[in-house]
Amino acid sequence: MEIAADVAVIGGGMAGLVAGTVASQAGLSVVVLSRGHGATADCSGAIDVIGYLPLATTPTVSAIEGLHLLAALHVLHPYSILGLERESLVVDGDVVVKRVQETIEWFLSTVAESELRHVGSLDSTIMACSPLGTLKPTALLQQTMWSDSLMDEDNVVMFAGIRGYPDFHSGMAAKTFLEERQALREGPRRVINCTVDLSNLLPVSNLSAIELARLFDTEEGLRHLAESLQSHVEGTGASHVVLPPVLGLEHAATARSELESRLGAEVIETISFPPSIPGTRLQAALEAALERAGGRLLKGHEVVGTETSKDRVTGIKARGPRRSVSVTAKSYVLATGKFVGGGLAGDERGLRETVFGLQVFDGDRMSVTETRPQKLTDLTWVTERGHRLYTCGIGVDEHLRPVGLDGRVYAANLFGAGAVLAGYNYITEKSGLGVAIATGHAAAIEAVNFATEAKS
Amino acid sequence: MSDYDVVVIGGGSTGTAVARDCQIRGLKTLLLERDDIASGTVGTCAGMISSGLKYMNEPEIVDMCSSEVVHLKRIARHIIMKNPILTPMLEMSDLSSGGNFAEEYSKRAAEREVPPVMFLTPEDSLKIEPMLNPDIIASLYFEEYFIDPFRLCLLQAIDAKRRGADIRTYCEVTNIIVQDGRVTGVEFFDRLTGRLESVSTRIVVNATGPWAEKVAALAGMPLELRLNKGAHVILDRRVVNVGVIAKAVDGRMIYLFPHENTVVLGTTALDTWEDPDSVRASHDEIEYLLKSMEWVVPSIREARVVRAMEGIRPLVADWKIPEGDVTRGYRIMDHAGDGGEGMISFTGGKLVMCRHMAESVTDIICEKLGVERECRTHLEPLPGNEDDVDVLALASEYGMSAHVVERMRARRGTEVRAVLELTRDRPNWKTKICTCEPVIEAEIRYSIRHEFPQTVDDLRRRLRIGTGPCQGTFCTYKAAAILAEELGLTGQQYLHEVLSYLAERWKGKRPPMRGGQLPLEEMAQGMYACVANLDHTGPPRERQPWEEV
Repeated sequence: MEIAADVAVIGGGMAGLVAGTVASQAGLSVVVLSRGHGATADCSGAIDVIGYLPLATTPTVSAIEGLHLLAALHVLHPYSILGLERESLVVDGDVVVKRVQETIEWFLSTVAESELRHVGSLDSTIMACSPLGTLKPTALLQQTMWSDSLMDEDNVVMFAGIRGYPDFHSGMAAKTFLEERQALREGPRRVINCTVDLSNLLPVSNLSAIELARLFDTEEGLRHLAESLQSHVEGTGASHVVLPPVLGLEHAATARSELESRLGAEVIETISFPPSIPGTRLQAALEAALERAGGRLLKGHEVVGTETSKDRVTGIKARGPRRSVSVTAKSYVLATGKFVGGGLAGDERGLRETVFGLQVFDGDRMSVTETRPQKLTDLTWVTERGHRLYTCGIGVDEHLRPVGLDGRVYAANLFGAGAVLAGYNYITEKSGLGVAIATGHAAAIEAVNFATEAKS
Repeated sequence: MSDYDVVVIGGGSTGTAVARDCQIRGLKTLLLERDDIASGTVGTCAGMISSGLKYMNEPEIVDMCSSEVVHLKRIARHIIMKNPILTPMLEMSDLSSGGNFAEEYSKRAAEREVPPVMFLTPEDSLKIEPMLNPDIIASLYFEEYFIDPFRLCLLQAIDAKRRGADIRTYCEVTNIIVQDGRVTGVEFFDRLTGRLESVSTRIVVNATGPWAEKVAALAGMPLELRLNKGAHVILDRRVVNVGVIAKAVDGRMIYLFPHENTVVLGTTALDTWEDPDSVRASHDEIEYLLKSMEWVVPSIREARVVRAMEGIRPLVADWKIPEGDVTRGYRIMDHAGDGGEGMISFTGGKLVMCRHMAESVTDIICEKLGVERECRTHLEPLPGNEDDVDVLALASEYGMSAHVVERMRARRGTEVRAVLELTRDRPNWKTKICTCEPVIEAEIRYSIRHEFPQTVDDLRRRLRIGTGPCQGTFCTYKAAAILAEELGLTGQQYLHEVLSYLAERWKGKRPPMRGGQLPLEEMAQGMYACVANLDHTGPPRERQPWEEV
């Protein structure tokens, strides 16, 4: 099968779908090729922008502050590249903040049209509660994961687990949450836990997040959950109930308000480990946005070949479940992610970019194509510094065009976005989806401009 | 009157066997282990209880190995399985060396209930193992037994404990007291309580493997070992379903053994002077093994390399000969002549000999103490081996999958029923916590209550949690929460457990990381460092020796 489009996007996670949607909204024909379900479907439900600066031990006060500092200190960070002046090699922090702010606003309104609403902003870093009861700094959360009053001193916060669902241990989550609050002398002084039984409706063991989410999408399931929680809430005077993130795939926000009104307590979900219901919600919202904008998504299509001529990418070949597809476009966006996404791979010889065979750099723009992965890691598994391996990716110029070791652009019509980019460690910085949105958006604008010029 | 007749130092295969033998013979016994049962050398072996064929030039050792296999099958059949093994040959010269081996092996095959060695055509070899290189010219077929080395040690310890011995893990010996040419006591630091303790004893057995020199030195006794390190590479799937033995790049023999849901590729043999606590597999060792096995199993690199582990063999100190020529037998060093009457150390030995080593040393101890009791360790079953287990009947009685029950049976034998019984009141404990293996919550609770684990890593040794293809990525926080609940840990201790176990897994995952392991590793970092923010809010953790550059 042959497809011609103005813009072809490789990768169906956050960066790719943002890029595809933005380009479609600009009136161009767009095709997005997605190998699997996209790593975004495994995300926690928090939209991190910049939670920690590299090597910092305390969170940013706000993403805006973080972006300004990055612009001043880390010229090669993907955010900074959005404000990079080619001639002076100076990053204009105001430009970075403005561009990130605009793209985040665009993102929020776009997924809101898919009934997925978020809270938070770039003006202040907020703390998300993890399934282990720890907190992590982030910028935006799915609405169901936030309560303004969670940290009030007089609260009684109750972590509620579900019997037979092993991914959330309410007792230990409550303990870590409370101990951390006490150590920091903040937040609620009473933190308790309970476990509810849903064995009337579901098996009593081996429950999965997806089974629970589907159950809570039904009225009966939700009512049963409310009834099971009721006695615990009444018996303890809980003001807040913290649930694992399984409140439905379809209408979590409604489910939450329904629970709140039945229980007379505030209800929040924690952020998620994979397999992730919030991630699945986000992925679905993004795919719906692309569809609304008129973009075309080809799922299960892995790019297996590329064609270039002179300084242009001229076509790509993808293999789908039952067919091969040739795509020709005026411009291309590479948004294939890192290792989970499949954009980068590595073996005992070194790292490589999987689609075009582009030069791979570490965060300091040193080549790592001949560095074996082990050497890019620390002997200690978890440190504030993080592993160099996760700063690796492709290097891009100020138009997000991939460059080689000599700094020369690989192709005038290829633009990189998201986790495939080098120069940041989303794991330690807590910046993954923010970079994906901002660079996905920016790459789309570059791709649109190129395609439009090529048209005229 | 001494507190103990015997203090055994070291909770590996030998130490636990000694404690069991001594206690069965009525000696009051204390076992002190610095870490956990089977946390040293034995925990890095492939589990083969070898018929000894590698040591054909030491016929008495081959005889001993063969009869030990028979004994182990009698006392521990529930944790033993038999693996067919093929030795494919690619060149004519390989054939000649096969003949000797076949003869020696076949002499002793009947007592172990295995067929004599067979020479197979390439066609027949490929029928048995289709993943072999089709260019082979012939192969040898024989069968060997494998044991769960962790369970063996643990069951020996538990058996000793049930018979009245004291088994103390996380107790590090700090001093061995010698007075007037005679051992009188041992001082040790209990790492769980933080207290120094002291006991008196008549005999001290130093069964500390590669640490034996250090421990002997605590009593001022001389001891020399030839330390030799070996690496194993673990792949995420059963690349082959029978064992394969092949010639390595340097002409040594290496093997690929199916092991539970994985395969184990080993091993190297390098003289070492490294600290046994800090050894890690090296890049050279990993590539040596992969390159060597690739000739006979060409698809080996398609599998995901999940980890590489390194262990140290405490060989007898025979010098100036190649490692392969050093005796695989063991020596018992009675330090009486060094002015340490009552102190006995081991050097050398193999997993398969652990019971025999214990018998020999206990004979000596009995003689010293004037006790006349026959050894019974080859007759008395280890816990769980008292009877047959009907896996299908249990699975249907308790509404479990036969797969889950069979995996549990291979760890526990008759004890399976006691574990499953817990699910009558708590049906939600049928939930699989480690889905790779799989291991259910009831077994984790049972183990915590009866097998004295202190950490998630201890649970790994008892239950294999976190040893499968995902290496603990998805089960660590769940298993740690159950451990924390059962042991009453604080939230900070819980997080510490999570991080410690993942750090331990990293020791093995890091050296070979490549290919399909990279996405999984990013996922694990994403969960624990990014989502749970443990890189910034995790409790402080002391760096382990192997985390130091």
